[in-house]
Amino acid sequence: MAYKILIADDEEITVKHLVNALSREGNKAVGTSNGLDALRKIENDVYDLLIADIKMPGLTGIELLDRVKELSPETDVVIITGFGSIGSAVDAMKKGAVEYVTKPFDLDELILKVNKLRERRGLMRENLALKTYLGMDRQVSIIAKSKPMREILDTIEGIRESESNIFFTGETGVGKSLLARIVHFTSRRKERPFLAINCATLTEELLASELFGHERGAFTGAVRTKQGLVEIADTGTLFLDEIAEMAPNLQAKLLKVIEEGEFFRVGGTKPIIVDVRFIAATNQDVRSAISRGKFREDLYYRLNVMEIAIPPLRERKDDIEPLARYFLQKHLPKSNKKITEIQQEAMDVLRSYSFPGNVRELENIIERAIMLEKTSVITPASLPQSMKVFQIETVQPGKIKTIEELNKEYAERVVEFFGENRSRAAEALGISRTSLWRILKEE
Amino acid sequence: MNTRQLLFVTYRNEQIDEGISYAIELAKAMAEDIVLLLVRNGRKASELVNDLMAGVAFAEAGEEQTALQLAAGEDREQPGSIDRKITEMIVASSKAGVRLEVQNMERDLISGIRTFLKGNQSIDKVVLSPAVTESEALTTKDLNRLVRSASRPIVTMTRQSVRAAREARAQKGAPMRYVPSAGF
Repeated sequence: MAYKILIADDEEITVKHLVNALSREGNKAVGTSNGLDALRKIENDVYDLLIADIKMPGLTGIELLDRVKELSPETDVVIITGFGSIGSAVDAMKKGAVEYVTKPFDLDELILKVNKLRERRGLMRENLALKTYLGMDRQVSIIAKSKPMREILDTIEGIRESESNIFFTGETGVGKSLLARIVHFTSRRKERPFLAINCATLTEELLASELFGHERGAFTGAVRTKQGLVEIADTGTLFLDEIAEMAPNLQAKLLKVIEEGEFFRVGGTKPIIVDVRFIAATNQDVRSAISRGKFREDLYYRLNVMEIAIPPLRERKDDIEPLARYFLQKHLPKSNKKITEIQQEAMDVLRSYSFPGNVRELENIIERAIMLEKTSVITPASLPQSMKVFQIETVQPGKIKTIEELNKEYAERVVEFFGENRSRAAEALGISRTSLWRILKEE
Repeated sequence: MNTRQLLFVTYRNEQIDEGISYAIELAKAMAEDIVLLLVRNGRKASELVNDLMAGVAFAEAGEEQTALQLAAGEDREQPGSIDRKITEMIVASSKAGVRLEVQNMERDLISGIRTFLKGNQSIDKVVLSPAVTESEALTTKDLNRLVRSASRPIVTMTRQSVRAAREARAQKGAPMRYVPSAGF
């Protein structure tokens, strides 16, 4: 985000000079030689910093400062005073200016002061984001009536004193990120930051910058040094969702953080030491990704000190009713409807459905049913038509692989290792080329 | 554009849009996009001969477009209807805020799906349309093969009437072709 500066000085040459100098530093600087015009600009736009001369036509610097503190208290103000008018400078500081400079001023000194204010603003933004995040996510609760989910919660309870990394697996929508938050907020790190990032939503470069931060000038647009999530989550927990989507380069960098507790910002030369607990999650078959060379085995074992597999909703049907009631109560206030209950017939339809989208899909179905329902109870009529017209079943991948599948997986890996040269792969495997062909052809 | 996609597999025939409303609902709930994988139906030998003969007749009459469509086995019942249905599916999907991408597949159903999944890690789940689920071409063995290798949940859709008929047949002792069950 560009740092926006407004310069107000009655000497047009000074304004022009400052605008040019501060713009060269990567700021977005604009100027005016009139106090009233400066006020209009502040009324119409948001500025991070105002540099104002005390003497100006229209409105003096002190009057402008007063109005800025009313209109935009977030804007920092630096007052420029004439030589010998220290009294006015003290007055300005009392009214909320953060700095003052006396004319004639040294440009380098002013730039240094602006840079410090810009850095402070950056830190304030990050701190605010962190506080907001913590404030938002501390209220964690989970509905878990079924035996498998109660067992998972017991496991989490049992490891609350542990600092180990945890790996959640499970289909999309089962509640992996919710459980990650529960792990954090029941752990000894609960008063420390909990940050989360979805590794599938960003490009490799952006994810690197988000995770590890960057130094100023590391790439085009890196106008200031930025802390990454690994650095901000220091002494806390970082949740890496959809970890299997992470690019190999980043996997190596992440492994170094986990193993050695240190990393470099993008473009940085100074190692940064951190103490972060990692919780990772995926809906993919990571072992298969490892066998295909898409995911580092060493990283997997570092993250997977404890693996918790969250079963899909269709395998814990006892959770469907309490979850449906919970979502009814959650979405009812937005609807202005007086629905009191979910009819047993509707509950039966829900129980017989296989929920390929898991808890997230159930929430959506209930939210939609509230919108459609005209009576005081949710009836089957307000459930999606397709649930009644079709028998929808979800068949999940088996957890145990056949010997043939393992043979094939291994053979594919060896062939890949030899750069698709099947003769060399067959020789290394100690079988004929024909046998290798048969294994690879196996379905 | 969403990062995750749902693969909806159906035949390129008159039943092309059956089950798509469910796929759109599911994709919307999961904030996913849809990849519509269209499989060409295998024609019986007699149908192929008939289509080719009719195609030749149209070609001789100068109706090249119709001849080509017949030879390709497309739009047997109403020329252009499949393309129209595809357009309607894209519009319906777009109205629901879900992006729908159409892919065609010429190979055998199972190996085609497997190949497609191999190259598309963003696919989160596979939904087989009622036409595919109930098709004679999809045996229990095929489905097992697909489930084992896909590494993603496979969603099957059976018309309630077909399911009831199968269950009735099973009660009478006749062997059932395929009835999926949770936790397969």
